[in-house]
Amino acid sequence: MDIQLTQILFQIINFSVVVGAVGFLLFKPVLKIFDERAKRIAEGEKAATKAQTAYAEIEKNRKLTEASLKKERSEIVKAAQAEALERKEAIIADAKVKAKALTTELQAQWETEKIALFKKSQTDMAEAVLSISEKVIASTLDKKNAQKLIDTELKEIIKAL
Amino acid sequence: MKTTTITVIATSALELTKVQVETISTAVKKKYDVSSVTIEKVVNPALIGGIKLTINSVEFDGTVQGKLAKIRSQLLNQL
Repeated sequence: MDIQLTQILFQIINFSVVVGAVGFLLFKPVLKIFDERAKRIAEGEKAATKAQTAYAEIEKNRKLTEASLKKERSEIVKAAQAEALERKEAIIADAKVKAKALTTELQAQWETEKIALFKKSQTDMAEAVLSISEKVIASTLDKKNAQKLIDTELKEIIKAL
Repeated sequence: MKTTTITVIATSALELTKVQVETISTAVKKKYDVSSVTIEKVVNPALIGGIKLTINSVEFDGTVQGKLAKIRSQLLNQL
């Protein structure tokens, strides 16, 4: 194949015309697109930096809040424990007082019951002794002795008149 | 001596003898300065033994039952 100089020249001119036309028609819009893109990237970077700062701030606040909550929680737990301990001591003290009062009351009740039982047993015994005495005297007192007893008692009554 | 009559209620476990009745009459006449004494005899076996005289609503108790009652009362008061 032979190289045709005219053909090459024609192609060079043709290419130059195409480059010139394309450069004339597309250079500014493409530049504009590139500028806008660069601008968007810059804005994006700026927004990303801002977001990162905001995130860091939020994270910092979160940590602070978490620490504060932890501290508050610890204080609440401590206060609750102290209150529970106080209440426990109060309940124990109250229970001790009540138990002591109940013990005293029961002891007094027992003493009263003991005395009453002892008194009742003594009364029952006295009644039994007297009842037996009455029966023994009635069974052993014959007519002769009964008359003697009347005489003796009569003398005593006359003395007392 | 006054001319009044006094009534004596004589309660005993056995029937009183004439001597006992006379003894009561004499003693009451003397002590109360009266001319006559009416004795109402009451027999109550529950008295067990002894005698009880009631003169003008005043009781003179010499019965076994009365003495036992007195002992019972004293014992119960002491307990």
